[in-house]
Amino acid sequence: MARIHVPAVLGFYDDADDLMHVAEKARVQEGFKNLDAYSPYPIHGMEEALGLQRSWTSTAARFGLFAGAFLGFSFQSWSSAIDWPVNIGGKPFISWPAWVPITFETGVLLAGFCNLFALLIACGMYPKPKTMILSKRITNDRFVMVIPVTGEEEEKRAIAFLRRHKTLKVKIADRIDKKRERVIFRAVPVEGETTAS
Amino acid sequence: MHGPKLSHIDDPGPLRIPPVATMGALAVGVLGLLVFLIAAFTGGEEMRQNAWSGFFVSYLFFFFLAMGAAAFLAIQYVTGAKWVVVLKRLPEALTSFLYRGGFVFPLFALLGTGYIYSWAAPDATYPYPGTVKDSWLSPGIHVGKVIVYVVPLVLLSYFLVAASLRADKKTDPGLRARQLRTAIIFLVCFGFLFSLFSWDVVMSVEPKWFSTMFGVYCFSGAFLSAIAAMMLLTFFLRRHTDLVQGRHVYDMGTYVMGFATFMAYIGFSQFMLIWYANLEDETMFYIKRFEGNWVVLAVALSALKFIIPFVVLMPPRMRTNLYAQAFCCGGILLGQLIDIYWIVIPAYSETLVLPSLVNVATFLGVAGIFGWSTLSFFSSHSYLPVGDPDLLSSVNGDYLHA
Repeated sequence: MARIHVPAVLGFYDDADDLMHVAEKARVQEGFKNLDAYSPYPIHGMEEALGLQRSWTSTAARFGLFAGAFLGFSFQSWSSAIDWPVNIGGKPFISWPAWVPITFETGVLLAGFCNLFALLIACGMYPKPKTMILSKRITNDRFVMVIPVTGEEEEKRAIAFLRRHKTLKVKIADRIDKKRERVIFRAVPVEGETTAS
Repeated sequence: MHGPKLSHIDDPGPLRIPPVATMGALAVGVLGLLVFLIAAFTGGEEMRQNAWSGFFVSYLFFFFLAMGAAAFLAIQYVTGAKWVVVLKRLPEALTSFLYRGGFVFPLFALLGTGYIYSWAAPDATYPYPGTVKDSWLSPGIHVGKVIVYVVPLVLLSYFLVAASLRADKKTDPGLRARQLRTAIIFLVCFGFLFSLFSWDVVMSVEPKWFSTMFGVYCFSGAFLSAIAAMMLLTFFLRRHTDLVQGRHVYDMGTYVMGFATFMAYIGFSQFMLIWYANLEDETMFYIKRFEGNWVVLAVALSALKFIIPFVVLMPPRMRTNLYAQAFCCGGILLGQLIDIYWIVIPAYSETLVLPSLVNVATFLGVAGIFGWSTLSFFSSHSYLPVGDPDLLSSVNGDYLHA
């Protein structure tokens, strides 16, 4: 739960389909930028609906794969041909078919670690996990649409947009209390009134 | 993908396949097999041997492909998979080859036992005289073995397809449970019988050689070739209906890449253990197949069945790309044919031999029968399984966030 753009208008839903529908509309029809969403579980097709870029974690995993495979293969070559050559069944010292399983394993191991740490870094969970929570029910049965806004005009537009789309509740995340790592909410202006300055 | 959800799907009826295509395939099949019959029964000794071995390779390729498709279908029933339902007619069409004539081929090949297996020749010297293997590998017992292996598998795959076709005509609440039961019985029998078929029918071309992994090796090739054929047919089906969507193609494409990897895993495991232990009886199988230029085929099949699909299909967007998939799946099918050729033919020749014209005609003959059975399946049954209760879920994508 890091990198919350503030101020932002939040819309709460109790159904994944509603969230996806709203995200697609907000991006395509209304043209809101930097959309974000929170849900208790991964939703298929949510990246496309939000217009998210492909994450860089797979690049990190690929780097880990090649590095791991290379290191595993080199270590086996070094240990059984250079450091301590042993004649096994008359085979050449570097008999690569026997090393394929270990090369594969080290490749997968390093790819897995790189992927894990890349994911943690990308989510802002490493080196220090952040615990800013928009609503406790996000981990249970609530789906949240986040529309970052700049200025009063866009904020009003976002609120009106969310109200048109069977949103259960609309909230405004105003700013972040960095010291206590909390999101400070602001009251949503009642319809027809202007925002209190 | 986020379009309106359908609540009802009309029966689209069978595909309009021009009768000239179906009949043409049948004509090619009959002509090719006629050439084979003439060569196998009127030719000289050498030609007969060549004709029978070509027939053996050709029928194994299609028989394995159809068996792989039947196993795919059964696995989908047992796991309760929903994504695949809109594509279910594809494995069924491929499976239909088994009961529309495919079962004749392994039985007919019994007539050529003396030409196909060195242990069945009249003056054969048995590999291990006086052992159980000596009597197990004899022409009389071989007939019984093939019947016991082939008949139950073909019957069960017929039941598997017929139950699904019957559901199109009328709804039956007990159908689901019966299909599941058939699929479970099929898979249990398939595990045993397909392994035994691989050992006794394919592996015994090298009677001295044995590998406990040979059954799963044949299975991985059969399964991979069936998936490659289904992938190609998915693009074909997608031209007729927009209910087959990008994610169905993507899932199928991922299947292709996954089982190309599985094939490499099984093939390499079998090779490496034998290579490492270096026992005379085991290693001679590979030595024979790496010397006398046979290594060309070994390299070709590992490139076609694993390296090319693995590398080309690595980026996710390539898995839904028609050209990338056509290239990879065509390569996989060719690789599977080369694989069977590479397993069987070195038993008769120490140096690389290319297929003769009779072999090519025989292959086209079996391919014609296969094409005829697939096309006539599509032109006689609806191309969507409208009787399947999970069809709507498959089309609407409900299974994605269930």
